[in-house]
Amino acid sequence: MKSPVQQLARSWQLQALFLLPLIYLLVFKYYPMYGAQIAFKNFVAVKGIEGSDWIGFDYFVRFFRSYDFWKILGNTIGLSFYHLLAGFPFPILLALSLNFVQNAKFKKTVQMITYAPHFISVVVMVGIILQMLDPRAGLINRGLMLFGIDPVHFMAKPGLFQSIFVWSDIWQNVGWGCIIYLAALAAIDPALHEAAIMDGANKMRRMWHIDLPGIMPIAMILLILNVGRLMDIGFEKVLLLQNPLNLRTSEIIDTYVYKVGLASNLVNFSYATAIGLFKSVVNMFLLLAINQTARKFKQESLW
Amino acid sequence: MKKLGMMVIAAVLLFTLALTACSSSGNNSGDKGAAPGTAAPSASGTAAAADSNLTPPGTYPIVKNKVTLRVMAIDNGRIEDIETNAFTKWYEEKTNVHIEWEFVPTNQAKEKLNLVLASGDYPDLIMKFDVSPSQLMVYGEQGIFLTLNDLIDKQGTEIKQVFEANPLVKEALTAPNGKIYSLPMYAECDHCSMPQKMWINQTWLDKLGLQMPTTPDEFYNVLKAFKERDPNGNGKADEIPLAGVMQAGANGIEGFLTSAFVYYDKENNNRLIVKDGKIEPAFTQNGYKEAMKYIRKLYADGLLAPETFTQDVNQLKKLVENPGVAIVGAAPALAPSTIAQIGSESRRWLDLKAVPPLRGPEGVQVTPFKPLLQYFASGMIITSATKHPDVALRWSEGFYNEETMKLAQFGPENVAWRDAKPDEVGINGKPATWTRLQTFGNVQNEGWAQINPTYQSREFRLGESAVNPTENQEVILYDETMNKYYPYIPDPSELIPQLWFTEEQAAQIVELKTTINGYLDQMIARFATGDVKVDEGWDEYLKTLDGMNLKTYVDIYQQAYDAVKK
Repeated sequence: MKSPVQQLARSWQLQALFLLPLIYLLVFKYYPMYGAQIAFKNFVAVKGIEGSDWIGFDYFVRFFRSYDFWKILGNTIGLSFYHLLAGFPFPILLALSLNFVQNAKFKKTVQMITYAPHFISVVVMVGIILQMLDPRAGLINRGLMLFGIDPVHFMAKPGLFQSIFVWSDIWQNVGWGCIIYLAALAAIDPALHEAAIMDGANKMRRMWHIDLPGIMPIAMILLILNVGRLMDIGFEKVLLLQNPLNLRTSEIIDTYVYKVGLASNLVNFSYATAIGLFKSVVNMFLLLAINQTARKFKQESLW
Repeated sequence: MKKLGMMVIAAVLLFTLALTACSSSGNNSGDKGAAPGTAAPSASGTAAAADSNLTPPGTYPIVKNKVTLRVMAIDNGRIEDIETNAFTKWYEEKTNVHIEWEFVPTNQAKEKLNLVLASGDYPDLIMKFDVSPSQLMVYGEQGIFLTLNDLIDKQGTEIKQVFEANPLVKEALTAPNGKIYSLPMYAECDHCSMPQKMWINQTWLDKLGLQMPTTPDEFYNVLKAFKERDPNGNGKADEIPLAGVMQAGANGIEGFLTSAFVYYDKENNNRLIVKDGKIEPAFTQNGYKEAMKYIRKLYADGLLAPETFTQDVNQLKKLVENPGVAIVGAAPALAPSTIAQIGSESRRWLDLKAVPPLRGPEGVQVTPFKPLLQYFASGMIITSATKHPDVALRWSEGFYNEETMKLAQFGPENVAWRDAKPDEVGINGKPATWTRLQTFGNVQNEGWAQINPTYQSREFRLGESAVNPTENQEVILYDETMNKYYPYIPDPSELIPQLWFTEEQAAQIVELKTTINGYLDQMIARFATGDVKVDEGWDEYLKTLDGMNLKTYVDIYQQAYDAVKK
């Protein structure tokens, strides 16, 4: 048996490859953790991080006691879960369907068309959404009016905000998300499919018994990773889609923090950091919970 | 084996973490030492050194040997190259001060300012960044922004003249503790101080033979006529009688309409009113309730465009500038330039005329008045990082001199502007004092195009020759404002002056304001669309506001108000 050092030395190329991402992680993810302590301090710029006074959990308490806290927390979690659950099956369905397409040209074209919207920036995407949903000139309302239905003022209905956000996101990202599933499907042994065809299985059965279990591990891992980012639902898109009429369902933690902590005239880095830290802690608990759940069900898990 | 390997990796990571923690604390204490340290010695130490280099106050050049100052300014995209700019060279020669520039794009200004102040590496001067009075006080008390009282007394000349000419400016600039932390920027703009205007399509009024409305009921009837009698003459009922936006600032849709029922000022008074020295919220008054019912009536009868509550100003402009025929009858705005394209082919902007404040059923007829609307407290800030505070002050106050101001603002004499000829008439109808030769707003290299603070008195602004008076925006705005709005400004006792909050007060206000104003905007929209009935939902509305600590919010304002009025 070789000693750990000898093992490391033998695989030095792997270590070298690993070095760059390691440095990136250390510099951009671990080192900034040092600054997270200002969540517990009254950070005053001129005193620096060291010189600012400790105030403990004051900012956390202030956040929890703020008038809209439960509503904002509810909006954030509701939107995130909706986004996660609704968005989960679609890339898989698309990948499964595309996998059975024989015509390579058609397959490639569909793939490109579906993942092209991924590259549209958030601002442009919101512009498109607002144009489409415009009560006077929007495509959707024009279509409704053709059928004699009254135009619907979509952006004015708080109940529709989450759906508008989630479904436009799904449309934008389904093609991109299915790429990884397509790769996993391509790795499934064709012999399995041949055996199934010989046994008389039709496409649906083959999908259910071969393809789906084949991509389950990847789906599980992606699910776990996405749960770990649950509280970080897209800030810019929500901010741009907000308006006074849908504010009570569209105010999430990040937009609230932005208004109170960063966009206000009295900038408060400590308050914003405290809330960010709170979100990270919640994310961590959710991650641990779902990982445990995955293990309980004998599925693939992160650890 | 595996365990040992894992332990080694864990140890390495921990060690790296410890290292980085140590090194950064080292850096920070170094910074900490540097920043407050420079505040004390610079004042006394450099005073001695600079004394010999300084020329007497009010004379130029400012220093005998050239001094360099670092200035952070906002890039408004109108200057080709600051280093070769004609005014830069002229002013450097005049003052013998060389400038090292640091420009920040407009949309990054707030972030950049916060970062610079947090980093400890300040420029000598911060020019025309939007720093609120609260921020001025916070950083001033920490010593990052220099206190200018003594400097102004000993070295100031131009700024003293400004204070004499307009005592309101000095009052607004002085914090409750008596200290001055910045130099102002002020342009007395009459039409800006009465911003809550409603513009209506005069050609439609003429076509339908209607008079300019004077009460909410008359306004309702006019809008109804717009909707039903096809004033744009295309046979289609496509007219939008009233449209607007819901934005912070004076031009939300509810502003003009509510002012017929209760004094409602979003900008100066923060939606609060003053009754015999006591501050009360405007939005809990009975008049406000009536106003909400009125807006609901307009919406319910199809006179107020539904997209008012979800669109922004650009979309409103698109509606007003509808290609072909006009479709919008009326919209609130500070000036037609906000909602229409000046100089466009459609000439829509010339159709718009201002509606005087409506007289409500209780006889309320008032327009919000902000006497210092174009006033910024933070025209110029001198930081503790400077080694030449007196030079910095004298360099800054030079911009308040009228000749320097004209050269900086517009460009060289007889190229961008000239003295008026005796027969030219000013905007206010009196003899003009100066004439503009080049339009403002294009990229050029002759002047500084407003990156620097100035003091433009009302006499100066109104002394501009009125070229082409019927189409000149300045003339139109001046006439409309003075004739139709000025007679209805409130009594000065009803105005809330510039308030300075302490750090603690400001922190509380910011949070309460976000919650309360967010709720108010929401409820205006919900009352209007009928989502919540005004009569039935009013008690719930008041209760919710109480739950949001409205009393604390009003109390803080009362405290700050009393502190200033003292």
